[in-house]
Amino acid sequence: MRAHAWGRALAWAAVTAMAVAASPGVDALDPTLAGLGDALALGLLAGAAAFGLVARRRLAVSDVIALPPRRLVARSLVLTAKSAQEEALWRALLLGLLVEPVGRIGALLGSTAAFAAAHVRRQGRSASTHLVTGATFGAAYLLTGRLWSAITAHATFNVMVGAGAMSEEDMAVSDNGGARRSGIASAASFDRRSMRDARPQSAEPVARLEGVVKSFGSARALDGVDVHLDAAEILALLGPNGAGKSTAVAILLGLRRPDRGEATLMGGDPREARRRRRVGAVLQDVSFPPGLRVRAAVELVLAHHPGTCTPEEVLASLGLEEQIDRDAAGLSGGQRRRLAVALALAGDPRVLFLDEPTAGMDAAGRRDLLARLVSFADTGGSVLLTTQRLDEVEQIASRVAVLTAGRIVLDATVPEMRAHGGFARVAFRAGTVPRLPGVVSVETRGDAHVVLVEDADVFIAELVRTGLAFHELEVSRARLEDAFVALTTRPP
Amino acid sequence: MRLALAHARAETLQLARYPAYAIPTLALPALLLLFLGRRLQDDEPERLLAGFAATALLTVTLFQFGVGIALSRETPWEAYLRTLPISVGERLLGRVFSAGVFAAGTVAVVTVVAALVYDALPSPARLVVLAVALVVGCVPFALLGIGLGYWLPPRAAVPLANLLFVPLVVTGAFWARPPEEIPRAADLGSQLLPTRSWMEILDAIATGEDPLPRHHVAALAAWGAVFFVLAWWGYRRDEGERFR
Repeated sequence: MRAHAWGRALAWAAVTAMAVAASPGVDALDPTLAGLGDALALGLLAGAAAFGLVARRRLAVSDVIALPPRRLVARSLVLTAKSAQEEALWRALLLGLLVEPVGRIGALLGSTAAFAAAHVRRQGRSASTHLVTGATFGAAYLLTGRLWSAITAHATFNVMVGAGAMSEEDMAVSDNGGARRSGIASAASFDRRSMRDARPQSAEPVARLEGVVKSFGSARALDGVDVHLDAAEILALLGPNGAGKSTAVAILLGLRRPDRGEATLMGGDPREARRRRRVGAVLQDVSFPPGLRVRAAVELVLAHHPGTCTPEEVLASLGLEEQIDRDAAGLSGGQRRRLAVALALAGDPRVLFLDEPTAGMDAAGRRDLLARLVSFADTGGSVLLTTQRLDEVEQIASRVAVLTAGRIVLDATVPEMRAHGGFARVAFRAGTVPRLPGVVSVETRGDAHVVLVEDADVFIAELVRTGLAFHELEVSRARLEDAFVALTTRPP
Repeated sequence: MRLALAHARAETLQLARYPAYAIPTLALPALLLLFLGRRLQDDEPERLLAGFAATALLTVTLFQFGVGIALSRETPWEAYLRTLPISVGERLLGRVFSAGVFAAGTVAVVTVVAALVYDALPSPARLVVLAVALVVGCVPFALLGIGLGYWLPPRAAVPLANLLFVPLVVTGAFWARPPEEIPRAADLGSQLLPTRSWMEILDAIATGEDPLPRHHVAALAAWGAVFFVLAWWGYRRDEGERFR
């Protein structure tokens, strides 16, 4: 156990002692349970029952046995100390003080509501979890009249949750918060994902949307989207304007909640700040408030990633070192975009979400950025990129997901997408283009036509049969753009 | 806490470099005191200081929180800041610290004007208690500001904040105790306002004449609870609906 954990445990002990000293105490509701042994046994049962009620699953004994015993014991002690402190405050002090003015039931309700409110505020969980646990621990206290009963219940609950979650932060500090990733109030199976640090494992996606639905008023932006981003890959999320790309990025970054479905980032809820620790982002709209200097913006971002690099280094990497003392709002459009990229790259991220990062950038800047992204992915980084520039996608993307009207219509590699549907481009010159079957799209400029067709041989045979005079016929493989247009303009 | 301070520093520097915000915020309450104080000098001078210090704090809570949040809510920079690994609570704490800097500044200017021009300076002990009552008492109004920030559309934020500010200040008796002869109904209406409750508490502390009006303490706490719900609800609603 680290030094600060000991310090914290000592502070908890002090708070516990003071709260217990100041508390009035309650009489046992059921005097037959007032003995210490009975009180502890009831506490154990109550804690396990609370776990069973809110976790909706059994804790696999084999999982607990497999844990390193020293770590388990040390953290269980810390959790017990934390539980004692909480019980001293919420039960001995608050519930105890409320019993006289409002009666036992009122005191139980009042202290449970306050307990739940404080925990929801701190941990952002649904209130029902904390209402159930708070009421259970409070009931144990009232029944036995012994605080030890409530402490045992609380500690039992926390240790069971913690043994399941067993990631360092959960066990050391987060009390009921350990329940979050072990899946309390979710139907997900008890897996070992939560036992790891927030760093992703190569086998599982670093970010994922599963069945995500999101509406804004009557407009449905996402309609059951499944998409994932793996480690060490560049995923291009493509789609026409208004397809829902930025909404998908916003949900993956925790800026928005899905109406339905689940978003995962670094193995957990993206709305938890710590999931975003190794994440950099460039959002679609980039602007800076007046009065904010470039240096201050970089310093603010670096404050979230202490010890990584200096503002000068961050800016030099994007050719912005000259602008360090300028007002960020006064930069040109391209420079602002560069600054946004510099901020995204500051702090050594492992995942990048880039929503049209090259918009407005000059050719050299664009080329540099694309090269950087490739080397970033080569060293294990993951990039989710949205762009309207399919040439960029062809250059760097390892995978493409096409989003149209809120649905993923294709998830494939670049060559697979290009070959999607086996399209071919037929270019020719003629007075007109006759209506023929198998034509996906037609582009006409003067007498020059480019026709995207499902089968070039069939199309040319039909064209000859019409008797139309044409020349300069040229057949080529469909480009990525052709496949994109076909995918996003025809029903899937 | 470290991150909250980093955000507070960035926001304070940014606002300080933006004179259109910084100068009116720091100067307006003191100017009001200069213009109106002479007419009100019949009132006890300590009451004058308390009333205009409260005016200064209300300016910061309604405008830096209310208007500030409403205007920044839709900005790309605010959306970007929310992608950083910092919790909502710490971000809000950063805003509170930054507002605290401006609040301290504007109250300091008011105190100097009150002391120099109107000789209104209570004893140091009373001043400390008054400062505590000002800070604690402005919490409900900070929550009101945050709530307005999340509820008001950005374009409506400035006019609506002004529309609230003036009646809250005037009817809340920040600038003058209501005359004895006003109708009972009007006085009761004023008593129900959160600003009136705050002012009655400050009045009792600043002048040291009356005991602390407990019913006003309770009323202000109740308003705080209402404004907390407003702020929390507004935040959740904004989070679900905005941004595409």
